[in-house]
Amino acid sequence: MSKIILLDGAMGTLLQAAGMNAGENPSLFGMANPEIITKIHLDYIKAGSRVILTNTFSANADKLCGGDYSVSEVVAANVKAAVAAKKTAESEGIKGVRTALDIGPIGKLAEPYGTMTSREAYDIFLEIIKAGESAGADIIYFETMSSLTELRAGVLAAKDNSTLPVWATMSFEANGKTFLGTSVASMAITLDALGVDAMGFNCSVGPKEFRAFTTEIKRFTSRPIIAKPNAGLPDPVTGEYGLGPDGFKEYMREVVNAGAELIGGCCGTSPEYIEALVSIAAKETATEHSALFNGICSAGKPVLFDGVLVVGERINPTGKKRLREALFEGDMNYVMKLAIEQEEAGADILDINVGCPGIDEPETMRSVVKTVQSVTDLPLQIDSTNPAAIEAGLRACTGRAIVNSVDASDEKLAAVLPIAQKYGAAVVGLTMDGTGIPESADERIALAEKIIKKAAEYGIGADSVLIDCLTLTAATQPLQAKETLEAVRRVRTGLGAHCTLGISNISFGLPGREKINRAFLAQSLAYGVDFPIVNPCSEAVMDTIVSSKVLLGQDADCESFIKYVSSETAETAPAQPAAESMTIKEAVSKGLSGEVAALVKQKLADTEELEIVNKFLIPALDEVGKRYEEGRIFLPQLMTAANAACAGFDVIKDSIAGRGGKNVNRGDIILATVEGDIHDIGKNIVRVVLENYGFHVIDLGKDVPPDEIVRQAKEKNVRLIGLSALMTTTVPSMEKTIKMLRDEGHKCIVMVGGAVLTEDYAAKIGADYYTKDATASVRVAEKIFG
Amino acid sequence: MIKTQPGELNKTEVLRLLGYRGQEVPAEINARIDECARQIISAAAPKVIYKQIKITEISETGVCAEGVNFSGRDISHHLDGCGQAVLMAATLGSDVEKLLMRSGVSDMTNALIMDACATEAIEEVCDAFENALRDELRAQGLYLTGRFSPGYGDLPIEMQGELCTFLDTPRKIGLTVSRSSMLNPGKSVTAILGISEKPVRISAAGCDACSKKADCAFRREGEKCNE
Repeated sequence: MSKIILLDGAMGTLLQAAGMNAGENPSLFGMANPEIITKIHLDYIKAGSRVILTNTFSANADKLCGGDYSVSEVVAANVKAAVAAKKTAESEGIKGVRTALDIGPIGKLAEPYGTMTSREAYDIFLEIIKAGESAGADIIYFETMSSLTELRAGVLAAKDNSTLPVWATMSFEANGKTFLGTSVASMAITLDALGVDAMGFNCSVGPKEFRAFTTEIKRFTSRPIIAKPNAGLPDPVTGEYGLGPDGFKEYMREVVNAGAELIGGCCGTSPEYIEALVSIAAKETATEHSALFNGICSAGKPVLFDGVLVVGERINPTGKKRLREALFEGDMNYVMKLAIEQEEAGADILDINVGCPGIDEPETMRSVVKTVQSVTDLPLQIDSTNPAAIEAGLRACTGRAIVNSVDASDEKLAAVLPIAQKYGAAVVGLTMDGTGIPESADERIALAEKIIKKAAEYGIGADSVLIDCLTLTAATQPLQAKETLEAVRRVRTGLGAHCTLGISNISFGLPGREKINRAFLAQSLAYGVDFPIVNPCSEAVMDTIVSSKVLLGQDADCESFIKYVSSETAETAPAQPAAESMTIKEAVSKGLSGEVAALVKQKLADTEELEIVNKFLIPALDEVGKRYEEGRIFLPQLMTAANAACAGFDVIKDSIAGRGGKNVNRGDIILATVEGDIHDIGKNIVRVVLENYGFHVIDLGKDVPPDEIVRQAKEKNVRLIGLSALMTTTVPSMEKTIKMLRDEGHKCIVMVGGAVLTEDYAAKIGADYYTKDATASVRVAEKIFG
Repeated sequence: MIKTQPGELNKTEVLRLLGYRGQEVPAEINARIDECARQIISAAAPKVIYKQIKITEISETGVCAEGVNFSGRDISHHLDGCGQAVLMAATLGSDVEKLLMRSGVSDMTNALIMDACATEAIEEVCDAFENALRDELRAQGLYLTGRFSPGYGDLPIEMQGELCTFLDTPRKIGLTVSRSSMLNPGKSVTAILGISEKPVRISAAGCDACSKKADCAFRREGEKCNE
């Protein structure tokens, strides 16, 4: 039971009343008028506020860019105005006032939807934190955040560099999500894991919705909850807020009853509102915490540890040549595809492993985590034997992740547990130590106990430890499966931890692997494995898991099972027309991927791969391209044809790879959307079409800095570079890239495209070709590579 | 706030955005467009915010209004005779952005179609807002012009940033502007409309104000993108 503490109310509203113009930066106004700021703070303190937020909401490098004062100066001046108010209050006998260094959103959108990197955000926040702490702030206070990625960067900047308490609030819409899709649960799980000292909600909607938010957040954290809502919603014409101090208080009473302990107001509130809350603070006491849910999350999606969760294993280059190549080449498109496929197949968590000899594992881990999170909402499991790669992955991962893994050796525990602790991650513990894999269940349990005990010393509870009792191959050690399963049973019933298990190793070296995998998976689940590591794209695997959940009593009314089975029948329903009746050309032009693949397979029986490409696939695409240029078909038809041809090329590639031959490559081409530009649909269309003409595209993605393009071009000696820019404001960075390529003396042809470009404009910025659409880029590529 | 949720998207417009010029639309593509439109509509969480401000001066080189100035001949022309301006910003929200990004990985044809659907959806959101506001103003005896956006004519695209700051869009509707003046989420619009006591030309800014005039695929074929 703790006491309610009053925070303050709006600052901006009062500054406008004191003469600040709309659109003016309030922190600069405060710097010019410190006495006004001190007076507002003092009014709040006298009304009852014991935590006052400094007038530094907009005092960041981005918003002060190009102004007369540095961030440090502006922050210091405003913090000092708050400290002055606190001192005056003390001299008047009001004790216990704390100043909170107020930090608002930077105002630029973080990756992947925007261009601001976490590192940039971290540095911008760090500058404010340093200045605020040395000017005398008592608390570091983030508020009005929409992006969990951005907030996380701020919290890390604070935790890495300061010992002050960190409080954080985000701004939620009535539907319980921020503008960028962060849920209350995800915020709570993430911030709790990072050790934020108090968390909650501010701004956005009125206090009415805050009650439900508070109830929800209390399911996930025992830390004090902050509630600082607006005074209702503003009128669009007058800008005035709907609720008066008394109405506000009535709603806030409910919010306190739901469990908020640190309360105040946001837009539209004033000292009168805080004064109205005094009676609540005196009378009400915050509720006790009930049992908490444990789980992990991404920005948008919490996954709670309360039943079988499918861990998708496919992002792991061990034994997968295609993925290994993609990782070395930075072909993130392939990695993203693997992520989406697994999510669609029913994975709950994605394991991310990028370990292969010769790769920069921490850097690759960082970029894979970031990329995967841009296309899926699934939480991640960071899988590496390299502590630096684990840390890089955890740092890049928005949300709370699992670390895979530690074992029971002292060395490994000491290297990995502190990292897991720092980021609040859950941990997979392998029941082995430096001396090899134990043979009995007893030995496995002893090691599990050691890991759980050690994890607890680092503040990681048993409920956040996933013990892996290790699968050995049945072919060589047939008696081990039983020991593994017995150990699982004992971990689950006696140690309070979870169990994970890589399933497929059981069948290594045996024929008909899927059959034994399926049996072992079913048995593992029955013994208590709740984090099976599997390939969710295997039908046998998902059949087994979905069915087992029914039998384990984890699927109320068999709802998920019925849904799973009915979606299965729906997918297999439409019968494909017979392929024989069609030529490759017809199938490509009609965009029928399945037919093209089948026809190419048939042809392979008596025709060489390259002959199929040159005599059938390319002419089919040419025909489609010609029809497009003549306006006889439109872009979606060109794209479906390209996709269909792609299915044919895949068959060819498999066939060539199958006999160990060298794959079709008519030439390497780099494609990139230039720095500052994040609209890459045009570039992606060009990529698909070029690939289907047999060119090898190195797609560097969007918002690519000039030096990165130059580096890749030189390193891989690429002779054709395609650049895309959508807006007049980003064409200069296209020009800069071309200039840098020329200055560095790299011999290459540059083709450019994008909405605002024209033939003349392209020539003016030094490009060799203006390509108005995807087929035009194919013509250029064919001219260059013959 | 005026409610604006796109219902069924105007398919003729979506087709036009996809470069359709009267060719045969295969049934498969037709079905894909319906499915993509459905997904975009369900991901869209449209939000519109606006402020009505007084215009203090209109000159040859720009417009001064309460708290914000616009430079250029074209905006002066657009607001000619107006005593007030409406600054608006609208967005479909970040879920649409996610959907577009994801479809760009798994299926480019769908990505292309969804992009067109989202463009059409944000236009419809703006139209709905504009029409509702026009009706409201008409009841007060006032007339509303069409929308004029940064980047039209000689109104600099960099004006996006100022408009968003003025409307406090990051906090109010989750709309931010990048250093290169791109709106995030991408399927968003900022615009300026004029309010006059006399009847005004409602039509959108038109080809004369468009920076793509010289190289427009629609104009080459004797068409217009906004009709």
